Amino acid sequence: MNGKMIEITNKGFLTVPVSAKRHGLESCGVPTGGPADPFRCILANRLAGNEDDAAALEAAFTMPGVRFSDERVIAAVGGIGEIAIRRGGEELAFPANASVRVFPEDELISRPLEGGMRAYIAVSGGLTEAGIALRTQSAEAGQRLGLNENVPAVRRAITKMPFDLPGENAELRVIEGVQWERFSREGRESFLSGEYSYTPESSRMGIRLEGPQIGFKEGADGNIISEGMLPGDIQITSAGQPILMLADCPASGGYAKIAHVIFADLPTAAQLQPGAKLRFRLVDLPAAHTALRRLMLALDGSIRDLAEPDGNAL
Amino acid sequence: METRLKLVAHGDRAVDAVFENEISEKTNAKVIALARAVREAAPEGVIGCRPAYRTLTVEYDPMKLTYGQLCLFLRGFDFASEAETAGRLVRIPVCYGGKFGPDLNAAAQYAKLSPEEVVRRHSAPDYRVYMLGFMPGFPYLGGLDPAIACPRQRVPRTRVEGGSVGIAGMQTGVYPEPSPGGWNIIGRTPLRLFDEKTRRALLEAGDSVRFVPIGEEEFAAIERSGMWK
Repeated sequence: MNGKMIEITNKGFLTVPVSAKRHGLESCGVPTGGPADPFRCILANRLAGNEDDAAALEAAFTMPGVRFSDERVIAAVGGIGEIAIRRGGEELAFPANASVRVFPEDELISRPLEGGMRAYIAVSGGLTEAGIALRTQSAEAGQRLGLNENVPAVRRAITKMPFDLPGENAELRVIEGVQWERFSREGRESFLSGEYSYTPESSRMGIRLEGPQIGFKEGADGNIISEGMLPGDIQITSAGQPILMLADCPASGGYAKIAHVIFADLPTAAQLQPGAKLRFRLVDLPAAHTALRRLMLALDGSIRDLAEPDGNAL
Repeated sequence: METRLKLVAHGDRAVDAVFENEISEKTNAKVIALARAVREAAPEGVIGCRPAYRTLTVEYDPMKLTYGQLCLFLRGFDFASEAETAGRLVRIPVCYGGKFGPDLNAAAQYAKLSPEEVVRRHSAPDYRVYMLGFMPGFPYLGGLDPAIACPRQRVPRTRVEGGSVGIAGMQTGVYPEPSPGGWNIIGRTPLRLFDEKTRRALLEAGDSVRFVPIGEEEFAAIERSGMWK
């Protein structure tokens, strides 16, 4: 394997190359795509010296095995505390949430994730956009993914994590959905006071939740004329149960939307694990935007450059 | 006469412009006109827009553009002065029946018409593309002759080939790619509705579509050359 590529040696459970770049194709019915947890992907990219929207790997449940073919700086952020690298015959442990220098033939070792559903692995220079399928496709063992020219990366670490992994009980802030008025008063109260659990029928398309039934106003039901759908939307099915849409949700949908998770809480939603219990709290639009500004500032203040110990090995 | 445009926050990163709650060409034309205006003169911070039957979802980056600024921009659009720009008429060749249209006979039986009459009625109108969605390039078409409407298959097929033309209820459409599906498949087009490589869709919202019956030989020729007059 020549330089400027990585090889997937183990796809783990599901590892997808993702890019936050948009292609202006939403009007053609193409899903939004990109990282399910956009902010942890940004952090991984910043640690690796990349632009915020560089293409990276998104792993669910399990870290992938990845072999490197040239010297790069990599970083993993998400449901993981430590990463393992096989170098020569040795297995080395490095902290996650910090940059790590890797050398030709080094291999990131597949391990289960802990504490969160997803982890992002960024490589300095970034994956090439050409390797990103328009729609999410899992990487397979043996697959090689191209890398851009390397970029100079200094040793960095997250010293102040801007958000916590959600754990078993999580709260998501929402604003009123575009069909809020379609739901009965009791239905809205159930939604805002009830506890909803994450069911196994969940994916990058969306999280199916189960909990107190959410009813519609008299004469109304959950079917609407199909309209645009976005990550963060919460649809209520005809059975009165919520589906929280994530990055790969279809571009349009025909169920009524009771609420929308605010962008600043999308990282929490994307890191929920099976069995998690979820509550919703209503905020208004200015509060949502304030939360986002705060989060962006926290992101800017979260990473510190560290001194290189010997100018080479990180 | 358009009164004040109805705008609703669709989460904290999008605004929906909402028109009459109906599926009609008149309402959809307003959506398309506004979408065009957004595409042509969007302020910095607009990420993209999704036209649908009666709504336009406009995504924005709230760190670059405020909700109020975006609403002001959308409200500045003058529907009255905007002569409706006609969409293109796109002719789509379809080989009806046989191996490409396994449900044509059943659809004809349901409609109590001959298969030829179903084909004639299906290829007669100019359908309006209200929106693209469900999967990349999939057109939601309006204008099906009610005489050939027929219910979905009770058990959906596990695989419907790309290009398949189907009827479900009062809807007709074309599967851009292989997919499970419950529509009655009456024919197939050799055209690609969405090209993954060039990332282009054959149709856009606001276009008109006319299906043109072709034979198997012509189907093969178009498939080979990728060319269609």
